[in-house]
Amino acid sequence: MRAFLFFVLCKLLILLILLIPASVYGQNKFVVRGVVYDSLTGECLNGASIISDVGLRNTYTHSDGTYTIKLPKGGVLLDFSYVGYITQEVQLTITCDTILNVRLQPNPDLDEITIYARQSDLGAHSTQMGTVSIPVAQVKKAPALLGEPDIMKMVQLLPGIHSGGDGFAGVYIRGGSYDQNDMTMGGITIYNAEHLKGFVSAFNPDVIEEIVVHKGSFPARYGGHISSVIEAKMKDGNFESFHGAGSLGMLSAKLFAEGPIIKEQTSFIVSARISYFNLFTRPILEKIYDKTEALSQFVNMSYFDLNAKITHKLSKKSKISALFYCGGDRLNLDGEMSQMESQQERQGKIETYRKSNQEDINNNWGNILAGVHWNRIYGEKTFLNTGLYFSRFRYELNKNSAIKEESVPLNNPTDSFYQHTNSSIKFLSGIEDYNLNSDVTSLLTANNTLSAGMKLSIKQFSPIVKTHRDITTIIASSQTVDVSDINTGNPSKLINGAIYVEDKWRVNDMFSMNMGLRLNIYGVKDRIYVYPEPRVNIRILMTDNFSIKTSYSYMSQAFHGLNSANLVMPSDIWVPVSNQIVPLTSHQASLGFFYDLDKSGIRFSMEGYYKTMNNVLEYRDGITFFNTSEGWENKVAIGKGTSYGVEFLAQKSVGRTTGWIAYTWSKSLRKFNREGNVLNNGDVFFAKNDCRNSLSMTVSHQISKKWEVSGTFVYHTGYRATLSQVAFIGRYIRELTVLPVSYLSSSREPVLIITSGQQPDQVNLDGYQRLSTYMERNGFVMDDYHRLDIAINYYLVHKRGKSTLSINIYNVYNRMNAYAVYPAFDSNRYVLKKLCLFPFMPSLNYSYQF
Amino acid sequence: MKWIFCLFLLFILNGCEKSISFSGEETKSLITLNALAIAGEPIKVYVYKSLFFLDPESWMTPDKQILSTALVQMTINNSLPVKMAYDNIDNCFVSDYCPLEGDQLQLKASIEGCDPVEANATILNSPDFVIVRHNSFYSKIDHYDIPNDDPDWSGTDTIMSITARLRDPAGEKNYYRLNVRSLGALSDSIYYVNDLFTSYDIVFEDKNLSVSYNGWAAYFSNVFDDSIFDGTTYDFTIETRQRTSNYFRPYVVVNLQQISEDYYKYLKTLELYNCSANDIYAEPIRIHSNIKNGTGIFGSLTGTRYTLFF
Repeated sequence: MRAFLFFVLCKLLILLILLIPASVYGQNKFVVRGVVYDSLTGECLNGASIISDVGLRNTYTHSDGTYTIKLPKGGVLLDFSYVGYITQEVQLTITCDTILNVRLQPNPDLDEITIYARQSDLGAHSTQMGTVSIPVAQVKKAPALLGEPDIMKMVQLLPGIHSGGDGFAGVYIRGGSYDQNDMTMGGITIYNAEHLKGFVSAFNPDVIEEIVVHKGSFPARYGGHISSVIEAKMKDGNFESFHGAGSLGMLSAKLFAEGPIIKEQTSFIVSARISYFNLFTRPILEKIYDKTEALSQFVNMSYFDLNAKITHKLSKKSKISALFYCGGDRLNLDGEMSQMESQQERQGKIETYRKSNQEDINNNWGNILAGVHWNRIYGEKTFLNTGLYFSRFRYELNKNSAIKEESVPLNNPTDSFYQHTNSSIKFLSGIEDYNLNSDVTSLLTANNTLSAGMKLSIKQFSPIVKTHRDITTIIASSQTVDVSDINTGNPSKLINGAIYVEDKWRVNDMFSMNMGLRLNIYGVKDRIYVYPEPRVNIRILMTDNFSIKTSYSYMSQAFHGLNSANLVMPSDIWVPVSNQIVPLTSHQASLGFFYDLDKSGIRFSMEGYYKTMNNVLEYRDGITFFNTSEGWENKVAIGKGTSYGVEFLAQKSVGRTTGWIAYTWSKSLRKFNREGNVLNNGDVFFAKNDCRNSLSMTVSHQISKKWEVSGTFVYHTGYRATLSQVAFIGRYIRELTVLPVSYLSSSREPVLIITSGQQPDQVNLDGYQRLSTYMERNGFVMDDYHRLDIAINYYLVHKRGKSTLSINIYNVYNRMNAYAVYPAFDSNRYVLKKLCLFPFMPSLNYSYQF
Repeated sequence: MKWIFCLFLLFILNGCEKSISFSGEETKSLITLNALAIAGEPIKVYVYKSLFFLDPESWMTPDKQILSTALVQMTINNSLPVKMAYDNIDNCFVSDYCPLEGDQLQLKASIEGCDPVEANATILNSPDFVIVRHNSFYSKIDHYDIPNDDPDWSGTDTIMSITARLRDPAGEKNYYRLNVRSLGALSDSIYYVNDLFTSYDIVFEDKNLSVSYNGWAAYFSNVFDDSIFDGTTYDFTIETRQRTSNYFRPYVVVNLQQISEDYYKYLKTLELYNCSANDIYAEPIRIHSNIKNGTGIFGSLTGTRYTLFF
């Protein structure tokens, strides 16, 4: 502990030492700041580049379009550029702090040909590593399962990121689990970002501007999740004119609208999706499945979601926005009814026996997000961002059954027996999160930016099981009623307070760093946990295009999403830490090489990482997925995890041809050897999401103004599973049955050889049982996974608006990738079977925009 | 048009559930040892070969898996190994030696085609266990399906409540198994044996056993450790029931067995295995084994037993 405090103090000291000279350094310079807009839509441009002719004074706009650059007194030429826009040069004579707002015009010559890839600058010049940005334009052009463009499925194509299964939108990043990802939409955490039990993500590409994925080297402003931060940045609506779009696909229909409420001052954006999986897709899928039960979990499923955002410019320095998301899924399984009637003899009497059984299941889950975000610029150097957010995820499963039993003697109906049993089980799992964030960023000098902030969040978890049973029995006209109600599980709260300080310091043209410290405080019933979390990113710019970066981050997380498989199921139970289960922590160190090709927009990166995780959870052997609400702490084991790997990424985001190639070599291991928490005999085993090799390529090519083709190829080592491969005979104790050889008739007591005392036992292993066991947890590796998807987009320009027809072919060469592997009987043989959910699967999608 | 037709045909004829050949490393046959060392009792060792789970023989009778030609040797207290003889009646290897408390035993087995295996066990001391009190009472069974004129179903159970005291040795981890068997008979050919008992005592609570199995109540286990009473004297009360016994006076045999750690772990995983056998959502189970390079268990058990009359 002393060593740790010493380490923290050293870090703070270094931070102070770094701040003092940095503050002194910028005395004869002035601040130029402003906002860069799209001249047609009035929308702020994120990631626009501002280059001065004084030395290497460059910067980029933030997500709200703002920029700040500190320049020396005198004349200066500033270039404002953004891909797809005409570069604008501004000549300035700087004598004091200056505000300069710039409106960039789209380049008509590049229209429809150049991909306007809006993305944050994360290349060789940035200090940030372990972070990748995906422009949504790329998502919309890429091939999609059932024609549904999906942001998270594109995220899965990035290095270091895996999916939970074929067609699923869940992500597992650098050996972490799903619950360790902080997925945010417009800054608000969304706890289950999936629809249709994982087939479709909750992020609607129509309203998302950019996705930024942080896999490691987290700046101090991020915290509370140990694996990743996935930011879906929402668009502002168009401040100048109205636009709309609608689309029809095999899975869902979508509507989208945006425009000004008060021109140039207030805008709105709204989009809604509704699925019709049952109507159209399911009947077709049923034709191709020889195991129609495979679809049973998706039968009668449907989803909807609605995104809305209003943005209002309070002044030139201040903006407020309110956003709302509501999404829900529904699964209704048709009631199963069985009836039987028979005549039977019972104790010499003939009676009529009737029995009926009715069962139905209703299953609903969904998220609601709401938030208000306000940002303001104070003075010339200080930015304030404040947000008040609410996020709710709720899962509800209702299973009802009614059993009626009746036996009526033929010759004496009054002596009949009747019993009616109603039972229901309600499985509730939910999380409500109230969140207040505030961040201040101040430009201390041209080379030094200090940020500080706080976060307060109150999370309410409610894993509850309610069971009800009532039995009405009538025997010979006499009625009894037995009612029982059992509620298990209790709501619990987690309060999380955090403060952070972060300093971005450009030491010189070669060195820059981002150092920070976050203090996370978690409060649960009867226990408070405090975690000081140091974060460091260092960049060494070797040439103007090539840099080496290294980073270290320590993270903590105070809640868990329990799930038994690597599928993102809405029925995952969210639970906070407790007295017994302490927060998750992770250390992650990484080293990377980054190279940007001049002007072509091509970036190369190679990163290696080593991550250790402490207090990770896994279900114990034999624990069932359901029935976990009561005493969940006893159902899980606590252990350690280690993951390491190397990631390679080549990304091109400008030009006719865009896309990326990603390769990852990685290992993810677990060890559960603490007393009472032993899994796999205490030996190291591979995590479920361990994947040795992973390769993905996604390319889009604009053939002409009307035609575009894109393709995605994915290959990775097969998914892991635990398979009980060893069948053996186990013996069990069958106590010797001491039967009387003779007995004393007077006392009727048997004559026993042994009566009491410490006598040897007469037990033996007389019983036997067929058993099967696994030798290594997650020791079975399924076949390698690979597939090729192709999409052809045809664009048609109308008098008013334009339309797009997309043909998507998923799994072009019909690779039978396994969704699940299980032992089963086939032709009287015991065999291993695999279920492939998505074979060759073509689809059509039509959209119209105006 | 032709290619559209071909695509459509491919789409329709495509089956999505396939039998696949096992692509992983097929687990080779391992020697399975099942043996229980009991003070004063000759040891019996059941030796089988394990099979790959897709092997059709794994579903057949165990006779084909018996390794009657294996070389099985036992070492007692590091002395020279003694070869065990195969008993064709019990289908197991036997030794004449009756181990004593404190004996250290080692079993080794080998056969061509399998890796040789070995396992160790130490004979434990018998537990310091006494019956404090016991009394019997009657409980009417209310169930619509029991006709009054059915002689087999009197509708009344005789319940014996037994309070017992266990003195757990301090400074060591101890593991126990409690067997409570009630016996009764209606004639020399109709008798009742009941190994099930109930108790509200926390020592029998096992939160992992979330469903009822083999007649035991959910969250209940007769296999426990001394974690809640380590080094102390612990009293607990149990109840067992017997329906009727006209032939002789019904009685109860209470047997507290001190078991080895490995055998405790084996029984615990076996309980879980049986408890979750029909649950498709349950996590797989690794059945505990102390057989090096093999499967099965070599446990030890020493009990203290009492007979009590209803």
